[in-house]
Amino acid sequence: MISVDVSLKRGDFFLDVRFEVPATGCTAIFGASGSGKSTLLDLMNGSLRADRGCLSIGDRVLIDIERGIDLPPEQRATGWVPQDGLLFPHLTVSENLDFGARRSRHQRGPSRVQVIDTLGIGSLLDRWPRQLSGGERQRVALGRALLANPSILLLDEPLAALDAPKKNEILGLLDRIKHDFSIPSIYVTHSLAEVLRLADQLILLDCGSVVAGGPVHDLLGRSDTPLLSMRNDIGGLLSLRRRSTQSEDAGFEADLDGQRVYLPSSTTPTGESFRAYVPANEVIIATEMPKGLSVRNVLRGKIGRIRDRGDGIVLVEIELGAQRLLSAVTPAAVRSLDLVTGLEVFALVKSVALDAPAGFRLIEAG
Amino acid sequence: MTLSDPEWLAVLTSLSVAVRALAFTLPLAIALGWILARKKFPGRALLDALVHSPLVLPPVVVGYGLLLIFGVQGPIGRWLDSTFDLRLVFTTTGAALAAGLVALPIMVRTIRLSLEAIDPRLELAARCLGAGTFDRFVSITLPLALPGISAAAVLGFAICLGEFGAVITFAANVPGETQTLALAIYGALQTPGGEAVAMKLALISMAIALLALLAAEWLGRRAQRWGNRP
Repeated sequence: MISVDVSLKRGDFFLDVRFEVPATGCTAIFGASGSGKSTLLDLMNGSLRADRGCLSIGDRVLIDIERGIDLPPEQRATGWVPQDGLLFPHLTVSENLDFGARRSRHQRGPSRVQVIDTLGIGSLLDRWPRQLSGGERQRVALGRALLANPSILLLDEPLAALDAPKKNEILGLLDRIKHDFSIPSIYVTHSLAEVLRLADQLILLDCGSVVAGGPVHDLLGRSDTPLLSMRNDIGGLLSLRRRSTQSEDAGFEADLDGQRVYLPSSTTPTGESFRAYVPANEVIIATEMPKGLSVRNVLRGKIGRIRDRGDGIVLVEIELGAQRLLSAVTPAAVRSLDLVTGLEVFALVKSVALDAPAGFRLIEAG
Repeated sequence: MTLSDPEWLAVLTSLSVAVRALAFTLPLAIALGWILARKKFPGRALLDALVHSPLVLPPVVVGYGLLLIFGVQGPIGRWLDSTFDLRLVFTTTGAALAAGLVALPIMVRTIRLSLEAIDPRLELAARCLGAGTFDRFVSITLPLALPGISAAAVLGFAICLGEFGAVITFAANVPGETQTLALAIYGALQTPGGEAVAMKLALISMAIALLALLAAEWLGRRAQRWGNRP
């Protein structure tokens, strides 16, 4: 477990954060700027000292103020990757990579060859940091952090300084890192797209405290999650399993807990699971099996909670077995269809809604 | 242009004074520059003012102050004399002390500016990668401040070569010991018919100064290979 319970007062700002997440996979800390997420990361890497509390990763205690423990950054073995990478400008890429590896206290870690290969930075080794593009710099920064053999990766908006195509490229790499090296990560971001793609656990931060936290699939698809439910791009995050090779009519099939979902395209190999984000405003509710529609995905479900946001939109949770979709409808629609909790309904999702490569309708391996 | 033995002696004395002065002022200037750039402590403003005082005091006053402290009757001077049998007054080392003290403020200032230009988060990054305090200073801070440090060294060297007031007050004008180029020029000008010698020595001073500046330029360009920020 990664267990965090720290507080810190700095001027008018008060950070008081408590959460516990598994010490595997990616935990995203999501919040607006000023919510304290970078401050939290500075507490974790040791550049800020907590006033009170404890912090441990597995059985390694980094902070326990009451017992007088507050390890300095150099003893924490946190792989810190900030927005701009912070490569050492007077060292070559290769020397940057070796900087942490040479000083690592632990024996076993990812090998240099493996890291260089995963990140695709083999051709950059002799270059100087100033000769690198923003994306290349982030790759090297990630490599440097990984080679120091950290017990946790602390990623502070590592994509914020990159343009959209580069973002996608690095996101793909982060995904690979997550799978190739079993190092837990804390990922600070204000981008929902990044959360959807990478996060296993999600901690929502507002004004210095945690307003919600838990597995990402649980928090999305809920009508009352703070910070998220008022967004226009709120939706449900589904876990799908790629079912067959291409079906006859040029589409791909996937399995959603026994129900069939059609996708226009997919990069996921057969049998692998992946996640798909379905924005609430792409989901239509029907009370009977519809006929004569172009919509390919008709999912059978049951209405969960219904919540009027108060801005002319009602969020309806649709339970599909253990998973959940959200649908955004008007109050008038709720009345005319007599939508109530427990009602059996059909959720209609256009298959193209499941297939935009960028933005919020992500389909990713994972 | 040929140089007579006393003229050569003045050149060599100047170089010897400047090199000795650098040997102790440079490490001191790095330490002071680092403390002033990075540390916050009570009395920091006072230290800053003390370090800068030779810049605003007349050099003669600096020399006089040294005489009071390091002179044979001064507290430290007496101690050095009785403990190590070491006298600074009228010696090359004494001249170096006087010249170095005058050069110190400019050197500290130059080094401090270059240290302040380093993104402190680079040092944090090094820390997170496991580098302790000394390791960080040697592997990150010092190399990144190198352009400033080399500029400070060259400037300090040039100042020490030409320092007059503090040297003559503290170390006097002893040929072969403390008579630097500046003092030799002054001496030549005081001697009837010494203008030719003064001119020769002045030209040599200029040549050395120019060489130093060219060296500074070259060092600066080499160090520019990396900027302080990517």
